[in-house]
Amino acid sequence: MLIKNQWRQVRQQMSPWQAWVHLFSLYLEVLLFNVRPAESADKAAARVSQLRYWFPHVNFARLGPINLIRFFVQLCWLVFIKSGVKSLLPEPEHDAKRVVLHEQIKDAEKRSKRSKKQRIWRFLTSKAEDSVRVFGNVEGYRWLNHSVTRVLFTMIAFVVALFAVQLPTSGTSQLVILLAFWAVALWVRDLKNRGAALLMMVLSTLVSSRYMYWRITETINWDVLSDTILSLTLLTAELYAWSILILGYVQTAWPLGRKVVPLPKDTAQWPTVDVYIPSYNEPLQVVKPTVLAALALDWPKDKLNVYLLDDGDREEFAKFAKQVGANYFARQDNSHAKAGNLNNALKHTQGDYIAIFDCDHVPARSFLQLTMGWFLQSNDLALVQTPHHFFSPDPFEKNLNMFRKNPNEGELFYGLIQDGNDLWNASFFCGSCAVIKRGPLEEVGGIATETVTEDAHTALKMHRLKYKSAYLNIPQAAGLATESLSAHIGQRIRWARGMAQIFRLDNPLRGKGLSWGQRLCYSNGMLYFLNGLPRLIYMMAPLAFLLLHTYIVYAPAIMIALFAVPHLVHAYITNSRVQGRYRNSFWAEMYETVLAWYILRPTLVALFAPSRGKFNVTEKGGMNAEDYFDWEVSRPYLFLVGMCIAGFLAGIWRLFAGPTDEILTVVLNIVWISYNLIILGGAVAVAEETKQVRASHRVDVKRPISVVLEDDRVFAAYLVDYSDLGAGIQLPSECPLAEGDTCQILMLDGISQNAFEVSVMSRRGDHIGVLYQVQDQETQQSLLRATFSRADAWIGWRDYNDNEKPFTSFKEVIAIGFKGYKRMALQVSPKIQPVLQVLARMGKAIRSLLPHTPGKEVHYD
Amino acid sequence: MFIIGVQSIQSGAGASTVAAALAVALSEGGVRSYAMDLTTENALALMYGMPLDNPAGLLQSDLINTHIRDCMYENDHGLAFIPMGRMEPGAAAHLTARLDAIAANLTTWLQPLHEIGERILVVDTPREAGSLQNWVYKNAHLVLNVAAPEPRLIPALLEFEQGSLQRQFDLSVQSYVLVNGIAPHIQLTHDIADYLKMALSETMLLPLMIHKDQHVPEAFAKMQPLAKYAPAAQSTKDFAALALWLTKELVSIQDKE
Repeated sequence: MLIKNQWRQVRQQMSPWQAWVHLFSLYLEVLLFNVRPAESADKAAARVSQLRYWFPHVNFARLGPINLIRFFVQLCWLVFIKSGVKSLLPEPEHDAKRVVLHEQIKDAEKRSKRSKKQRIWRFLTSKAEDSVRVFGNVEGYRWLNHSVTRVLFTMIAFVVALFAVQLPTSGTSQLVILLAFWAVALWVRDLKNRGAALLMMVLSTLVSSRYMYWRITETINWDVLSDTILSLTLLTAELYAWSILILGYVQTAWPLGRKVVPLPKDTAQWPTVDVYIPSYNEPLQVVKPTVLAALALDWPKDKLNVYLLDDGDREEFAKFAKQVGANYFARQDNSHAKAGNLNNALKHTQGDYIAIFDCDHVPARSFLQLTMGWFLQSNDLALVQTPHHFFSPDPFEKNLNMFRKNPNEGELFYGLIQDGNDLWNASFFCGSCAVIKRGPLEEVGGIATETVTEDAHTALKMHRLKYKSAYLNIPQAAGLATESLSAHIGQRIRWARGMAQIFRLDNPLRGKGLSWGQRLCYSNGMLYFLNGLPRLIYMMAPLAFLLLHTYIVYAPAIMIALFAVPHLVHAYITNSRVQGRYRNSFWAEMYETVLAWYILRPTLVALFAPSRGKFNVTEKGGMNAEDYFDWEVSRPYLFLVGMCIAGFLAGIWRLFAGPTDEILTVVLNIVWISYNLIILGGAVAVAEETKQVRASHRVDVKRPISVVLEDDRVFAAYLVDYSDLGAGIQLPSECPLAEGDTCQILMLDGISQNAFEVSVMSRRGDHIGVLYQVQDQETQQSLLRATFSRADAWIGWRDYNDNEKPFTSFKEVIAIGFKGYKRMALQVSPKIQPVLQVLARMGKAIRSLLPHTPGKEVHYD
Repeated sequence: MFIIGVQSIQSGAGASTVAAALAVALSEGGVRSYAMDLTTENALALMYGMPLDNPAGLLQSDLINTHIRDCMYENDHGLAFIPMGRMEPGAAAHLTARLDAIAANLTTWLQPLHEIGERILVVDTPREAGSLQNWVYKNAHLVLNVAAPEPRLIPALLEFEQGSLQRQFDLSVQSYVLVNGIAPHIQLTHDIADYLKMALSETMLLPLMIHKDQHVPEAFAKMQPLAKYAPAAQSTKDFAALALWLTKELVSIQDKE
């Protein structure tokens, strides 16, 4: 009777088929989850017990065929793949009932016979977990740190590793080994200590080495000459990638995380410091804040000298320096560019220590007080480097619209690699935001001039003389990132060329004075920049089979999958665990692909003729009037894209026309080339330069300030952004300020407040934009100390999610890849916009069929 | 119950303003508080909106026979206060005797308030030495000495050090100096505040200061508590911060006891 009534009710609104499905789902929900809305007090629990929670993307009101597909796909996914659903529920509070129940279960377990086995199992699991947990604890392992034990353990580890790598390479044994390794890796992945990370590195190293062993011994086709050449080419690229992977693990095994050493209370013991600010062609507007902030550093005034080193020999710079009280040096010639400029100043100054800032890196007022403590503590310390921090978006962040959302490109180096180098006493000078001790610097003959990366080379020379370096991972200066992709590429070409030059001229693997840790860290830093050729080989490799039908990996497809997939998976999950916080998975491919073509030639030239090439200055502070697509820069990628598309089509053709025993090989190659296409799409997407209308960058903050009106009324307000020219302020709505008014804003400069006159340029709602009306130097410096050079100005910028999710990153990269192709297509012909819209809708429909995390908010039609 | 004395270092430094605004800020922050006026100016009543022609208050009542509730008033916002009131015309000659009588009976008279507990009584304290000031120093947990950063402060500070401050030390009440009316955009107040930082010990000078804000006299003129008249004003936020600091301070005093 009840059912009949319900049926009638539903039939009034729906067709018979829809009504049937609707009622069925309702009854199912009642049956499965026993919904009692009136009784369930706990809201979260009630939500979980609804179908809508488990099927967030299914529209139960309109169960058409699409929604049914979604439903069944999600059902299969939930039942067979998504395990550990319990963790989705909010953790139950400790309530008495549950505890009692728990005790009862425990007792029951104790009593039952079968539980004995379980208990042993559980005991072993907890023991194993504990041992991994304790693994990261250094204290208990002090006895290990003895030369005899170290040598002994290294030898044992070496033998075991050799044994593991050489285990039989038949399909079944490989399968068993890889499953065992995989299980361990997945198990320790979420353990938050260094021991777990080290274990993952060891596993990844073993799996990858096994893969390389197999590749070298079993997969080279020696019968056909052309095949041999191609397969050796790919093998070389893989060997390169393998060594970079292993060296990377060595480098990042144990980031030191150095803390600040306090200075003595008595400032008479503080040493004298010279601040060098080299400039060549940057406008005065860019250099001004740096010089003013350097003069305002918290350091005894009689022990601080600021030098503006102008290689442009400009009248206005000399005048400015004199006006603000900085020393000014210009040179007759510009020999050896920045290095020569610094060396010239070195000759004419006397400070005990030298702080170097690029002319756009505004130092925080606390820079010297935080860095100098280490020098006073350790006598043979020659260098303290701090991160380069950028408050403007780099071309990737700007063009892909991800500023301050994801870790940026430099984050990996300054967040992790330098900190990892520090363990091996191998963190090196990066040209700016660093303090160098005069003695050691003069001992190595000043800043190195042999290469175009004078900074790293100088540090290498000092390390060879047994001096130490330190890396303090606290951003204490900030500057502008490169504005355009072409400028970014230009800068990286210089780095790549310089590093290749050092590798040739002063190879860290040879020569005196370095420890093995230092040799490996420096080598990785230099070899990394040789990635141009291997990256291109990877891009083109699948074409060898798809277009030329060459077997460059001479093995059955199933074996390739058995060896290559674990090698890749281990490398990815280990890197995600170790560096995911500093660089999301799969992004490295995109960054490197963008550069690959451009650094290829300079690095090769530098390797064969190291003394050629000149120093180019990185351009900063530019503007783009409107969006444009940099065809010039993206030309090589377009060529690669064309090749890959050809390969992809050939693959599809082979799939249908080729022999059946090749199908798996074709599929593997198609997957590979699709991945390459996605990455290339990302590289193309970056080439569309987003417009950049503001000359000075605004830094987003939320900081309480006060606004003083002309009638002396004072309002509490929030500073929401600031730049070197003005600020954005969130006012209380009662505040009557309007466009054209002037007022004072009060901001903290250290522990006291200072007032700055501003004029209101605009008001939208409660938000005003103001321009500073600051004239005298003292107020300007105070303003800098209240904004750009606040000690904590850049703290907290890097708090990205600790648990990086490789799949989410992969989705992001795919989306960016598609965006690249879309942008390119629109550039070629804007008329195809409607076609793209249809494609986008299709893509969305397909995505909507895929399983979704229960409880997520999604809306599909 | 906690008793907080608020006293000006120089005349007009703003003790009444601070006492009223602090009591309101404490109440707004969830700690029910009362303000009590022990200065004969009777300014606190005005700040709580009591008409000028109403002379009711401590001076009008005999603390032996009148109950505290007959002398405690509540404004439109439910904030309670005890005004000083005014003497009836012609009785000015007996003022000192009356004040002494108040001081003698005040502790007993406040007993009903003491029994409630967890409350704060903010007392506007007279600058001049006398029995009422003595009562505050004896009974208060803490005294805030209000300084306005203006040139008159410097001679007043000398007098304060030898007079009030000495007596506060003698009666071992915790004493702090609060700067009221800091205006970073006016160089002179800036300099005098710097001078204060040098002249006073670090622990004595409160790190938070009350801004010079036109909202304060405006609220007075409107006979409204500052927090109600201008909730978005900087001075309102300053008093909220002061209230927060005070509750933390009182917790540590309580822990010591």
